[in-house]
Amino acid sequence: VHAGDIASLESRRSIARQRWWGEQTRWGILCLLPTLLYLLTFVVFPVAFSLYLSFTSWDMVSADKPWVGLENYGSLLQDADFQRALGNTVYYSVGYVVLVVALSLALALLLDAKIKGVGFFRALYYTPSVVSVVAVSVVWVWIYEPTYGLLNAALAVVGLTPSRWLSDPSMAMPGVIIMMVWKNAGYFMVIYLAGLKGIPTSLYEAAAIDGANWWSSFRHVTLPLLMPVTFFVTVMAMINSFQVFGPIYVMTAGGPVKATLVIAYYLYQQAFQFFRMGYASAIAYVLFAVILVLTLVQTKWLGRGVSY
Amino acid sequence: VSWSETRRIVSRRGFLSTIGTVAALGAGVVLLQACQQAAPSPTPAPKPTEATKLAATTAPTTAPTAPTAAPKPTEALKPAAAATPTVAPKPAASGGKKDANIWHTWQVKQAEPLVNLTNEFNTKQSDVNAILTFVPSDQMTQKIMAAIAAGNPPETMPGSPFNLPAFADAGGVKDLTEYTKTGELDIKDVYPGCVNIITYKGKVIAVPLTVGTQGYYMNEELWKAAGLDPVEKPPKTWDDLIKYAQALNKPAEKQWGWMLHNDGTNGTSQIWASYLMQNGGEVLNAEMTKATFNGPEGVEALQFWVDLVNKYKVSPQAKVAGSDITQAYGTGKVGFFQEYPFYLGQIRELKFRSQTAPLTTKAKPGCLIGGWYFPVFAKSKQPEAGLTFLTWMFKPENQHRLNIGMGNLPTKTSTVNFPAYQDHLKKEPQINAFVNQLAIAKAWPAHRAMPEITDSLGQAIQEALYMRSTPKQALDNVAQKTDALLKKAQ
Repeated sequence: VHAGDIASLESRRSIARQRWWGEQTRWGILCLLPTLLYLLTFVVFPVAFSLYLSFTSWDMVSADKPWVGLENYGSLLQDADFQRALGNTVYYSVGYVVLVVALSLALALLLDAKIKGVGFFRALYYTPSVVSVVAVSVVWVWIYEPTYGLLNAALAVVGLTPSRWLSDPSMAMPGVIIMMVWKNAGYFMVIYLAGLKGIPTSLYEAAAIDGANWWSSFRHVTLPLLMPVTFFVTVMAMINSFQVFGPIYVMTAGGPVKATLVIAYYLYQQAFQFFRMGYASAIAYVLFAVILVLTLVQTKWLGRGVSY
Repeated sequence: VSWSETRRIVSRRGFLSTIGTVAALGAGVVLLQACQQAAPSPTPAPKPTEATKLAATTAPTTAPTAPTAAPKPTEALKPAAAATPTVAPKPAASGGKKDANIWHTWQVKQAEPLVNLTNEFNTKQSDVNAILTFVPSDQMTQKIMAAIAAGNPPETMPGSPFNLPAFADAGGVKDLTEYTKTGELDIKDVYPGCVNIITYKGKVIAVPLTVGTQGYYMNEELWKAAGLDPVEKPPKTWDDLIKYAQALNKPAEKQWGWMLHNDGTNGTSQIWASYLMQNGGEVLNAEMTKATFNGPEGVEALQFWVDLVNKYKVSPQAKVAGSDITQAYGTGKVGFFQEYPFYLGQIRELKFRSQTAPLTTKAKPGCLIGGWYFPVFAKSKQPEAGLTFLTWMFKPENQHRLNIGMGNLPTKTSTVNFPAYQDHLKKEPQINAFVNQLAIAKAWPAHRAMPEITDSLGQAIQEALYMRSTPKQALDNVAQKTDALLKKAQ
């Protein structure tokens, strides 16, 4: 190796270093600083700190944070309430995701047509998704009220047997699912509408020439080409469903007889009612792991055939 | 503007000086914060005599005539609305006064008496400036826990029987025992139930200002229509409760005889605990090492509730929270229900007349006491100022006005016997049902695991009411969990 080559190499490295730490980079960092500080303070630090807390038995008040190792995670395995909360969350998630995907797709298909007042109807169906979940939940508590509620009054008019809805352990979770599907279907409908607009009309024309009816076009053109949107909607709905808290807090408080006790509500109880911050942090990390695994599974299975 | 132009506009020196200025400002802020935190409290604690003197100078010689003399509520609401709970207390409004920050969870109308009295306190003495800050009730626990952990709590706030032990265990509250010995904080005539709540591990840890016992609210029209007399013959025994509830129950008219609390939370266990106590049962053993609510007395008390719902069907098998009950009662379709006295203000607004009665008796009278108890936070900036405010508020001439306005009950006999409060009882006789139980009302055991225990108890009661398990099984399951919690806390 010649000395000249080494000098040339050093020179190139020096230029690269200068480029890396040049003014452009420094300006870039300066401009990013507010966002970086925000993320570090309110995302990275809490995430890391709660991981640490999950190995302690901190009570939120004491200065001491006694290290307990994996005890919190071990206790979760034997905690019947946690297991019930996990089961209820899966129940909610499956019911919610299936229904919200189906309803939002159906609404999008209906509102993709060129009919009069379509803008009004799109806004109408989208509106519930912008209303606070607490306000919506309070209204639905009254709709579901067994004795004086609107829903039972409507059922009575058409001669159907009234239900006890949120007071019935077997109906409480379906009641929450129906309310949340109603609330969020409009949001996912807008995403589906954007997806429908992206399908070239030439494909429908070609299908029509081949003699395809509406169902065949939907089955072989619309549905496959909407797969990326369906994948996105499913993943987002699933993640949201595992974090459900607001409607449970307002409508059922996890009851009756723990029928709607979900992980996020159980976590809240442990942290802010019973001051068991270490245990609550362990629950949060288990929830994180469950969502991560499910998202990876979805990515692997559903993600395969999403693009055309 | 292209990048090359930007380079020309902002020179390297300019860039460095900008960074330098930002860094210097940042360092300055950090240093200021550090100095603020490190600065020792320059004001020595006032001697007990000072507070006594203050009390002597501010105590009116005669009973206050009417709340109208107090400043308008809107004036005092200003600082409450403007102050942010999480920020450090503002400097004193007038020179030399020490700030006493008081957080509370009461909405505008309910907070009026506190606001009025605070304004009066601020104008009648020159040592302490009390500042009220409203914190939504569902955020209070989180905020105060965070404030204690951060070493920046307010001087005081209303604590519940549930969270006082947790505050005390964390070293968060000031030991007030010494002040009770000097007489500065006289608790000699405080009702026993309240004393149990404010005494934790042998130390007095809070000032009891405003409490509630439970009683029955009865729809007089429905009672008379059913041939019952709520004034002369209110329910006295458990048998009366069943009999009257059956008479008032009209399923065809969607009318419930009695509406039991059943939301599976500690609200449910609070109402049920009174029946445990009436039956001679206890929640925990005296050493607080073992659950005793699952004894025969507890099982019988829970069976009584299960029968009301499932055998006599006089109360709905439904998830019913306190607000559901009061709203249903307001429709005129509920014969009676059990609640604390705060609802007295609302029954006057209803279209029908209501009567009240004390709870029933079985083996003995029994009633759980709730309420608000004000600890002084040890790590607050001016704990003595907080105590000065509380001792002033604790005086009968002030405490009675606080409770009349809030619809709650005083905590000591000297306030109940205060002439103006006695006049109030004559004017509003429905309060007597609650006041008359102050002497016998009992508190939850003072233990930091009680929030979790009572919540689990509420769930067990709900399981039994839904017939998912027998009363014995439901209570035994919670007792097992309770014993584990108590053991862990030792």
